[in-house]
Amino acid sequence: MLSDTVLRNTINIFITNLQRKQIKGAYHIGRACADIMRTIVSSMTKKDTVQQVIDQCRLVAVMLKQAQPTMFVIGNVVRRVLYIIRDEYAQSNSGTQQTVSADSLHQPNLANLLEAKAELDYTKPVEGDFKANILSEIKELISELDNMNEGISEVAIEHVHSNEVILTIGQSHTVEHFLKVAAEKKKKFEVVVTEHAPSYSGHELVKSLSEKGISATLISDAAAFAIMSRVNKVIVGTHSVMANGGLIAPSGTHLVALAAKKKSVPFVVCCGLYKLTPMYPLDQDSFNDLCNPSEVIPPELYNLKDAHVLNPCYDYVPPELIDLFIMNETGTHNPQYIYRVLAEYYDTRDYDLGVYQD
Amino acid sequence: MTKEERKALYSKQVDNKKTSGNTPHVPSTGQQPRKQSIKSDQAPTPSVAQTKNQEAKQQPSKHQDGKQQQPKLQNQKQLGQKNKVEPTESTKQNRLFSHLDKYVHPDNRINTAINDPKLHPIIVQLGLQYATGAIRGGNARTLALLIALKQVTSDYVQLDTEIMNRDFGNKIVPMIDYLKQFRPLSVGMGNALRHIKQKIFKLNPDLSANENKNKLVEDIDIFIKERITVAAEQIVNNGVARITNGDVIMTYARSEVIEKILTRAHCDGGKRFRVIIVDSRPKNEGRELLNRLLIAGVDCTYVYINAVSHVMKEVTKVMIGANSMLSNGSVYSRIGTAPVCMMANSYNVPVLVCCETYKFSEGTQLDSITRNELGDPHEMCTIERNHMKPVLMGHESNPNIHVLNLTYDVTDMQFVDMVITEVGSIPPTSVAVIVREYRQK
Repeated sequence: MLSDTVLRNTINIFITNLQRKQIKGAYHIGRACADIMRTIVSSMTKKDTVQQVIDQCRLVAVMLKQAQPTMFVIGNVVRRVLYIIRDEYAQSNSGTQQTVSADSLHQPNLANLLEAKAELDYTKPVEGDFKANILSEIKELISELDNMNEGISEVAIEHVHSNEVILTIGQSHTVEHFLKVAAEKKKKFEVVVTEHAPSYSGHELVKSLSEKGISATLISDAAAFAIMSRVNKVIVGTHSVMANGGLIAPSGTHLVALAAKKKSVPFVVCCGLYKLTPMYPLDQDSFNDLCNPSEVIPPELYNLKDAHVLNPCYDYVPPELIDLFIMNETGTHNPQYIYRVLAEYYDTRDYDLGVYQD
Repeated sequence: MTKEERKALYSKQVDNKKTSGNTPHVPSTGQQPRKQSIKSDQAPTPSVAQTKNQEAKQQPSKHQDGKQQQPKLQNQKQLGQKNKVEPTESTKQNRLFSHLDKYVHPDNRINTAINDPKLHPIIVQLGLQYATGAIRGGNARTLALLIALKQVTSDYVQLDTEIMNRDFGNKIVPMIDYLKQFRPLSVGMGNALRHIKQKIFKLNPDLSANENKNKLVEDIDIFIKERITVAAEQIVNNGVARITNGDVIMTYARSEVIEKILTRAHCDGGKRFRVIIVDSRPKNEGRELLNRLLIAGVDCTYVYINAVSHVMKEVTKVMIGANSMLSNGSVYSRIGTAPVCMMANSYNVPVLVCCETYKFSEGTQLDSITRNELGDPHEMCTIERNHMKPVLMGHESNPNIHVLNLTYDVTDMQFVDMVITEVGSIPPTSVAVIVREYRQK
């Protein structure tokens, strides 16, 4: 499959783009990743076994992840595809072998802990319309990605009422879409946006919302706490949702979440299902990245030779600060339920995709 | 954005408005208050907008009459009128903050009352320095005020018919009102003024004017020494004592007393510690502190406030300055102090506030919104990064865009572990006690 030069070139170009951060935004990366997975599956032949397909997918996932280790979306999309493949294979074998029911989710529980589990034999070549079924499922996954924002907005709209003041951090396309949909539904509310220095994406959001007739107020990041006593709800996007229900989100989110908790303001996270990541963060440094420090302070300004300037990309937000997750497909959950959602969409064997080896 | 840039931007907008050809620019000071009053909640009512257009058209025609000087005078007159009209227009301000005084650019305030006979020239000068931010920071502003008052006192001429303690007290009032219009008085300034007014009231009418003046100047000097300079010195000593080897001290923006503590602990105390400076837009005051500490040779880390939770893990103490301590134990300080203290509290890092007792206030505040100061919204719209476009520049025309530049916030008592003052280190609960002590004196 990977011997296909066209596919290999696509992957290489994608990797280069990832490394140079020329492709930006979780959605675009996830989408491109799903396309690559579809090409891999569609290039499989009659001779290939299911295990080979799975291995190929995992190998590509590891290569892509190596290019941008904190871009969890890549791994997540691959895990979804792997789950589709495993599920489809289990179903096609349900006649011949003992079924591994989708409900047990391969997780040991008291009922099945001591039972000998019948492992599926993945080493057999694929047969019949197995491939076609998988491809159609992947197509569904892609359309799910494309329509993610609509799905979220539909649910989220129930949570906004008239004359509310909503605070959001910087610009998240999901939140932006949701706010616009809510405004179209004739809901009248005010939005307060923190500018999110040094990306300043808040400025863009204020501009974009005002064009839709939504009253938007730009504040500095430092003012989020001060204004919290006037805010009814905090609605933010995130970089990813972790297995413990915490967030890896743009830096500054922890500050706002903590302020919201202190002032008892509901903290709501809107995100696509593809941001669900089966990994456990421990603290601020677990999954983080440092951005360009010159964005924070122009190096020509002072003699900064001896200064350390830090510009972290992400914040870890612990689950106890979050009140609600609004996702497409699965609906709304509290952070304590996230582990269960994970088990519904990923196979436990794919939680760890392996490490990159040269 | 510098003044020139702002003026250039503004004159561009004026150009766009002008229907008739290339007449010289109307001095920007004349029209800016109007422009800023448009930036507000609802769209301007059509009638107001129309009158504005008419004015804009009229002014160029006056230029064409060849009367070069007159338009300026005209402008000043109009400005005076406009300042009176403003309160009605300010109803269009952002709903959340309609109770706060709207920000007016210093340029638009300067030409009021420069030649007012009631004002001592040094007060006029001081007002301008407050307005442009040339003098800022609690201690600097209070010191400048007191020194100016000393000058006013020595220049006071007592008429035979007047009694100094009444006449001089009345003469000061318009000067203070003049200063207030540039920036509200800080708590420290208010306390200092109250003290001086008491001293004026207690002047002995039987003594000669010169004796009274000398007495008053002496009183002001004593206040400066006891409550400000020596107090600050004592706080620095107390603060230095709190720093131990291996500490990682976090501070927010730039406070003069913190800067002194850190440099002295490093240079004279010979203590080995690191400093993390947390800063935030739009003022970026921490950069100046960073620069000075780097010159002093202190090991510094600089982050924006968004990264505060990322660096908090290694911090051992948070030290901040305060604009004032409220008698319910809250800290009233520059915006961003509260989130930093909150984050420190959640990481169980002690927060030390350094504050002179003359800044202790009898007032209380529950949130940061009831009382605050609005800053220049233009500051917020500028983006320092070269390749990025400041998309919100000229947002005044859009009724849906509001830019809010708050100056202060209130840190709850629960986030503060210790207040370092010249009378010792106290818990925030004891602020009210100190206020009471001084009131009884």
